[in-house]
Amino acid sequence: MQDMGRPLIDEKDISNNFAQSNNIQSDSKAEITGLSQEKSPNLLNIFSVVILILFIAMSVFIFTVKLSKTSTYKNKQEEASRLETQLNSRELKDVDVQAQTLSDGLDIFKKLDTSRIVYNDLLNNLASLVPQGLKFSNLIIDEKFKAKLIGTANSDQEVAVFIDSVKQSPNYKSESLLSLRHSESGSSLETIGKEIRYELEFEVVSKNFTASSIEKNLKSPENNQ
Amino acid sequence: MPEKDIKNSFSPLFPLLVFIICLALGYLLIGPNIQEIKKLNIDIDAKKEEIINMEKKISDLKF
Repeated sequence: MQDMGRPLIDEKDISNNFAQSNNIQSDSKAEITGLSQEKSPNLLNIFSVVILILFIAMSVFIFTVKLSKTSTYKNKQEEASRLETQLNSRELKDVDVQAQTLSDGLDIFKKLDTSRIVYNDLLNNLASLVPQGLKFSNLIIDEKFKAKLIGTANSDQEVAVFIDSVKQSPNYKSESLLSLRHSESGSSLETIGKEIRYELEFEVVSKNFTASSIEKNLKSPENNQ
Repeated sequence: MPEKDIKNSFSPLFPLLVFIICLALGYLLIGPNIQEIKKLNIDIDAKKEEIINMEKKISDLKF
């Protein structure tokens, strides 16, 4: 009953409790602010780590791409060298075959050219033997170089001179030089008015009129003289 | 010295370190490799063209 005068809650206690509660609140506030201060660097660190990982991944990717490209380039280089070898061998073969074909063609052409009769020279040579007044009307040369010459002359002498010239010429064979046939009795020599029609047969020495022999004559002008 | 304080003292250095590492990676690894890849691409294109030309030449040859 002595405590009846004493209040149930002392003012000091209340103030003490209040002070304590204030202290607790201030401590908790301090802890909360400390936590928020810790969180922001943590986020930055995480972001940095992510960036670093991305960079490393990019480096690895680029390195892999480089390796792949290097491998592709090596393959292409090998393929190119293989094709180059193939091309060279084929080109050489092609050139060889073409050269052989050309050589064969050239040989044939040379053979043909050298065995070719230059009729221009033959006619010029024949014309040089003809005396004045003697005319040709027809000249036939067969594949065996047997010539048949038909023409007219003013006199027998002209024909005789011509026959003599042909006999003396080394370009014609005298053995088969002439065969005379009168038209009525089988000879080719006849008189038509004032003109004498003649028909001669002789053999041309073909080798003297080939391109090769003419070329030789041209190369050695002494022979021509 | 509590552990919290040690953590707080290291954390500002870490992003700087990462930045330096990224710079080094970019300068030493990524940059030269990209240049090399560009050069390889040009070389590969040239080789492709060369191969096409040679194939055409081979097909043009008779033998």
